[in-house]
Amino acid sequence: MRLAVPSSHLSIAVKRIKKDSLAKAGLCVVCLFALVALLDVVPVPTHDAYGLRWGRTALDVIFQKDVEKSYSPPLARTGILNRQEFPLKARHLLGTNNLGEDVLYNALKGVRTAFIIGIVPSVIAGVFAIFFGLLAGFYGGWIDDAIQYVYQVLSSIPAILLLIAMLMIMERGLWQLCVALGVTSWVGLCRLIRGETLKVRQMEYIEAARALGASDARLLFRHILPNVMHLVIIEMTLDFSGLVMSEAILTFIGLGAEPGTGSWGRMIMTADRELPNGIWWNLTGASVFLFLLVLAFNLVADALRDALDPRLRAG
Amino acid sequence: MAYYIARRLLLAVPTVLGVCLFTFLLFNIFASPEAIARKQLGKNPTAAQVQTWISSHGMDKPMFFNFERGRDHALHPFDSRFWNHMKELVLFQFPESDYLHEKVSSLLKEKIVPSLTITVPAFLLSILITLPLALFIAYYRGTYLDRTALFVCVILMSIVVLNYIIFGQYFLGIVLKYFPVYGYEFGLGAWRFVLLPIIIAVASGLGGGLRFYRTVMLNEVRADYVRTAMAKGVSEEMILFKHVLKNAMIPILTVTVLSIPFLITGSLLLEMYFGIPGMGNMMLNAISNHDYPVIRVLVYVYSLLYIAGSILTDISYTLVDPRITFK
Amino acid sequence: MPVLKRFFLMSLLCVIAAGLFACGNNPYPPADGKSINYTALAEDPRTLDPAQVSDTTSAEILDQIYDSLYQNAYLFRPYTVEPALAAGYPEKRIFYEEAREKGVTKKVARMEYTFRLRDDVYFQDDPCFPEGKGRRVTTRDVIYSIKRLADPAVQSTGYWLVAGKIKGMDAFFKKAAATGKADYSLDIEGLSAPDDGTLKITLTEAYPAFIYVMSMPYTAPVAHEAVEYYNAHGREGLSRHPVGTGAFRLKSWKRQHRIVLERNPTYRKEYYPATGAPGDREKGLLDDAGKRLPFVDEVWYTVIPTAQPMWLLFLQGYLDASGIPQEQFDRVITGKLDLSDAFMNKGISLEIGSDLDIYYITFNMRDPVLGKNTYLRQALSLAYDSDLYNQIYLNGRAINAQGPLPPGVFGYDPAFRNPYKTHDVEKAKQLLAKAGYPGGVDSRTGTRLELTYDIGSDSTRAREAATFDMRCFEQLGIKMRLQVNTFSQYLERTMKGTFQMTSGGWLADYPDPENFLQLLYGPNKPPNPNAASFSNPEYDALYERIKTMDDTPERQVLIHRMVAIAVEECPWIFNVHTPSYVLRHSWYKNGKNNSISGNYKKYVRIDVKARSAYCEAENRPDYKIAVYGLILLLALSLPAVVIKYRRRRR
Repeated sequence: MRLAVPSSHLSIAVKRIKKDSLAKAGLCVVCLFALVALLDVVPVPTHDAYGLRWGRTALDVIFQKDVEKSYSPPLARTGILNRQEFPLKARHLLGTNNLGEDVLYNALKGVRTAFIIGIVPSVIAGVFAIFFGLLAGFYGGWIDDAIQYVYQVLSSIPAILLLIAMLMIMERGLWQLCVALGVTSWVGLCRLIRGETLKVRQMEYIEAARALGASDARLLFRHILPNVMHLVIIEMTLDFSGLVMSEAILTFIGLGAEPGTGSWGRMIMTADRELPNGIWWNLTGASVFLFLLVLAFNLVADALRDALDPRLRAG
Repeated sequence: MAYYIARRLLLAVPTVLGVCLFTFLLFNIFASPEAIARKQLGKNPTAAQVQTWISSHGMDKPMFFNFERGRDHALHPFDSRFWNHMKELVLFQFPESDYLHEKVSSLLKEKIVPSLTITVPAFLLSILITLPLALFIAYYRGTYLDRTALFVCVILMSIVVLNYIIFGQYFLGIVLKYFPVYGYEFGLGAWRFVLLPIIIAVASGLGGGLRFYRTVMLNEVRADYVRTAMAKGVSEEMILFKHVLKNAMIPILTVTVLSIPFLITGSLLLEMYFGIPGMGNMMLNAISNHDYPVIRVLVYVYSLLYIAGSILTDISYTLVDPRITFK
Repeated sequence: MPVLKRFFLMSLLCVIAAGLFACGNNPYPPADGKSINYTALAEDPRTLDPAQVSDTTSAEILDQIYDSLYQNAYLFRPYTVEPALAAGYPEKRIFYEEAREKGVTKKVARMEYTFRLRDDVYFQDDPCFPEGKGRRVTTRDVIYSIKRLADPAVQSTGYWLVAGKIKGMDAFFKKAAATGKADYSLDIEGLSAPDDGTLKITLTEAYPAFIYVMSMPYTAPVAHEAVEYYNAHGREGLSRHPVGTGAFRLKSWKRQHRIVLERNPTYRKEYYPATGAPGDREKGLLDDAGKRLPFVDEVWYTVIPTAQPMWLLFLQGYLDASGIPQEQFDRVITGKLDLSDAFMNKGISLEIGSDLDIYYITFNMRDPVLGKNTYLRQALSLAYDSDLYNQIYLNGRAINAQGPLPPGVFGYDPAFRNPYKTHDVEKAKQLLAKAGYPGGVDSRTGTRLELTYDIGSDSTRAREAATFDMRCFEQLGIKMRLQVNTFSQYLERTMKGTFQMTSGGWLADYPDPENFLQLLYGPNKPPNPNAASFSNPEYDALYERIKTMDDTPERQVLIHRMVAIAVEECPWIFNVHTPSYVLRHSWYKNGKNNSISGNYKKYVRIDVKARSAYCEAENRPDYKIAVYGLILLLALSLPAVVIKYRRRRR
C-alpha cells in the first residue's frame, strides 16, 4: 500500500512521456549526455613514463587529442600562431582553442560537470528539504515555528547574493559550488514538503498505522516520505536546467569551479572575446552543448511535471 | 488594513534580525583578518601597519562579548565584533568599503541609478510585451500556432543569458553599429546606452515569461465564468482582455512584485558587458577585490527590499481582488 | 480583435522608433568645441590620496593632479628626473655625527639635502580654501605630506620608502602607532623648513635614489586644509577629492565609470621641452617646443576592465591610444614587428617601449628540497622554455630575461648571457643527476621527485601559464602538482614560506637598479618583497653598498657581480621582460612611451578635426538589415492571420 501512490505517479509519467514525441526526443538526448558523463567517470589504466596509471577516464582515452600550438578552425589541416602557419597533429572536428586544445574534447569534458552541478545541489537541497519539511509538517508546534523561521530568513536573502557571499568565503571548487547551490535552493521544496506532510498526516491510513503502534520514525519514513517523494522528483528535474545555466553564469563572474574542471561557462568566458576576430567555433561548441542539454532536460521536465503535478496539469 | 500592515511589519522584524545574524556568521567565521589586511595594504606593508589596520577595523575585538576594560577603564561588554556588526546594519551605519576607502552607503547611492535605468524599463517593457503576447497565444490555444509558440518558448528558455548578451552585443553593436558597444552617461544621455541592454534583457526573459503567463491565462480560460460569458455571446477578445486578464492578475502580481528586488541584481552580466556603472558592476568588483563589507551590506539591503516586496505583494492582492480581505 | 491589433501596431512603432533613435554609436556626449583626450582605464582607481596610492591605475591619475618636487623628464632616455615644483636640483652635504648603535657610540655619515621650491606654485582652487582660492605652496606642505605617510589613520602604502631613511622618522612612526593617530605638531629631526621656500631633509645614510622618492606622488605637497575639510565628518574624504598642484584637476568621478580631469587654470608657467632624446625631432616630438602646457582642455578616463571593448572603441576612433590585446596581435603586427598596412592606412602609429619589469618563477629558498640544492634549481631553469612562453602568451614580443635587471636601468648588461637560460633539456638532465635525482628519481629513496606549484588566482590565464611552466619541468621526469589558492591563501602561503615554487613579477617604482636588486636582499624576506627568502651574505653586503652609491663605473661593476651571484644561485628562473606596444591615432600628438608613469598628459595635444573625420567615416550604421528583420517578423505573423481568417469563416 505504501508504494501504491508514487508508482502510479511514475506510471502516469512514463505513459505521458511515451505519448509526447518531443519529450521522447529530449529523453534520448539526456541519455546520450548521461552516457558521455558516465564515460568520463570510468577510469581506464594507461601506461606512460611513470608506469601504470589510473588517472584517465574512458572519455579521455577516446576523445583526447594531441595539444596543438594554438587556434585552428574546425577540420583544418594547419593553424596559425604569431603569423606563422603550423601543421596540426590531428584533425579536430570542432577546431582548437588558443591553447591548442581540442574544442570537442573540452566540451565533452563539460558534460560530467554539468551533470554534477545539475544533480548534486538538488540532492543536497532535497535532503535538507525532506528532513526539515517532514519534521515541521509532522510535529508542528515550536519545531515547525523554528524551521519556518530559518527558511523565512534564508528565503529573504536573494539567491544570487547568498551564492556570492557563500562562494566568496569558501574555497573555489566544484563541490563547494554544489554545496552553495544546494544550500540556497532547499527552501522552496521544504515549504512544499511541509505542506504536503500536513495534508498526508491527516489521512486515515496514517491514523491507522499510528493506532497499530507504529513509531514516529516509521510513520515519517515508511508512510509519509513515499507520499511526498514525487514532489522531490519534480523539483529535481525542474531545477536541473537552471542549475546547469547558473554554473555557466557563476563561472563567468569568477565564482565557478576551479580551473581545469571541464566547464562550458569557462569555455564561453574565454571565447567571447574571440568572436569579433572570427574565431567562432570555441564559443559555438560550448554554447550548443549547453543549449542541447538544457533544452532536452526542459522538454523532459515539462512532460514529467504535467504528469506528476496535478495542479499544473494545465498546459 | 492599517492594523494588517503594522502586524506584517512587526512580523518582519525577527526576519531582518535573522538576516543580520546570518551575515555575521558568514563573514566573521571564515575570513582571516590578517589576510584581508594584507590584501588591502598594497605592496610592502609593515607588520605594525597590518596590526593598525586590523584594530582600526575592529577585527581584533572579541567575537561576542567584550570583558576587557577599555582605555577609559570602563567595561564595554557590547563592544564586540558581533554587536558592532548588528549595530552597523540595523541602524544603517554602513561600514567603509575595504577596497575603495569609501562609505558603502554613498557607493549604493551612486550605483543604484544606472542599474534602475536598465532594469525598470526592461521590466515594464517585458510585461508590456509578454502579457498581450501571452493573451494572443491563449487566443490561438489548441492550434499548431500555439504548439509552435510553446516550443519556441522552451527553446528561448534553454539559451543561457550569456549567449543573448554575447550575440546581441556582437550583431547589434559591433557588426551593425546601431548602438554604442560600451559606456554610459549619467543623466538624460543615458538612453543611448541602455537601449541595447534593455533589448537583450527583454529578449532573454521572453521565453520563460511567455510560457508562464500563457499557463496562467489558460487556467483562467477553463473557468466557468468564461464559458458563461461565451455562452452569452461576448466576443472572445473581450473575454480575454477584460475578464481573463483581470482574474489572472494574482499569480502575475506575485511573480512580478517578488521579482522587483532582483531587478537590481538581475542586470549583473549586462552591466559587466556594457560598462554600466551600476550595482551589478559594484558587486563584481567587490567579488574580485574581496571587498567583504560591500557584499555584507548588499546582502542586508536586498533582503530588506525582498521583505518589503513580499509585504507589498500581499497588500496589492486586495487591490486587484476584492474577495481577499485581511484578518 | 481591435485591442490586439492596436497593440501590435504600437509595438511595431516602438521597434521602428528604437531603430531610429539608435543613430550612431558614439559613446560620448558632444565635446562643445573642447579639446579632449579620451583614454581608457582597466579598473577604477582605488584612491586619489597620494599617501595611499599603490596601484598603477591610481598613480596614473594622481600623477596628473599632484605634482611632486621632481618629475620624469618627458622625452629623455634613459629615464632622468628634472625639477618640477623644485627650483633646480638639491644641494647635497655629507656630514658625520656620533650615534649610538647597539650600545656602541660611533661616527656615522649623514646626508643632508636642501631643496628649494619655486615661488609660483599654488594649490588648485578648491572649496577647502578661504573663498575657494588655492593658496601658495610652501615647503611645510611637503613635510606635512611626508608625515602623513607615517600616520596610521591614513593607512599609507608608501611608508616603506622613507622608513629608516629620514632621520627621526621611525620614532615619529612608533609614537603615532602607539596612539593610533599621528600628532602633526611633533617635529621630525631630519625634516625642517627654514623658510617657505627651503626644505632640508637629513638621511641616516647616503641614498642617491632619494631624489626618485621626491618625484613620487607620496611626497607631493598636500594641503592640510584639504585633509581637514574633506576628512571632516559627513564628507567623502581626500581620497575622492584630490587637491594638488598639477596641470589637471578633478572635474568629476563616477565610480567604475568615468573620471574627467580638466585643465588647472592656476597651473604654474611650464613649457614644452625644447630638447629631447636623439630622434625625437624627426618624429615631430619637438614641434611644440616652448609652448605653454597643458594642451588639452580635458582628459576623459573611461573604466573598461576587459580588453575587447577597449579595442573596439579604439578602432572606432573613440579612444585615442591603446595597447594591443593578445588575441589581436597577429592582425596588427607583421612578421617584422611592424604595424600592418590596414592599420598604417588608418593613420595609426605604433611605438614599442621598454617597460621596466621582470617576470620570474620563484623558488622558496626555505624549502628543504629546493632551497639547499643549487643544481636542482639550475636544472629547472635550464628546462624552462622562455621563448615558447613568449610565443604563446606574449605574441613573441617579450625579451628573454637573463638576470634580475630589465634593459633600460643602470647596470643592465646587454651582452650578458645567463648560462642557465639556454633551454637545454639534456644539460638540465645532467644537472638533475648531479643534484641527486637522475631521471627525476631520488637516487637515495628511489621515489620520483614531486614539486608543488602555487598560483594565487583561478583565472584562466594564471592556470594556463602555470600549466605551461609545469609542462616544461615535467620534461625532466619530475612530477608537478598544481596548488590553486584563493588570493588570501596565496598571500599567507608566500608570507609563511610554505610554498615550493610560484610565479611573480615586478614593475619598477623608480628607474634605479636598486629597486630590482632589493627583491633578493636577505633582510627583505617576507612579508617584504623577497618572496624567495634568498639570502647570500656577499649579495647583501653588495646591495648595502650600491644602495648608497651614485651611478659610477664602480657601481656598475658591483651590480654585475650581484647579478652574477643571483644567476649562479638561481633563486628565480628569470623569465621575461615585456616591452609595451602602444598604438596611437594620427590625431594624438607628442605621444611618447612612459614606463614609469608620470604627469605626461600635459604634453599631449589632440587634433580634434582629424578625429571627427575619422569617426564619421568609420561608424556608419547599416540599417538595411534592420528593415529585412522587420519584414521577416511580419512574414512570421502570417499564420496567425490565416488561422484567424479561417475561424471567422467558420
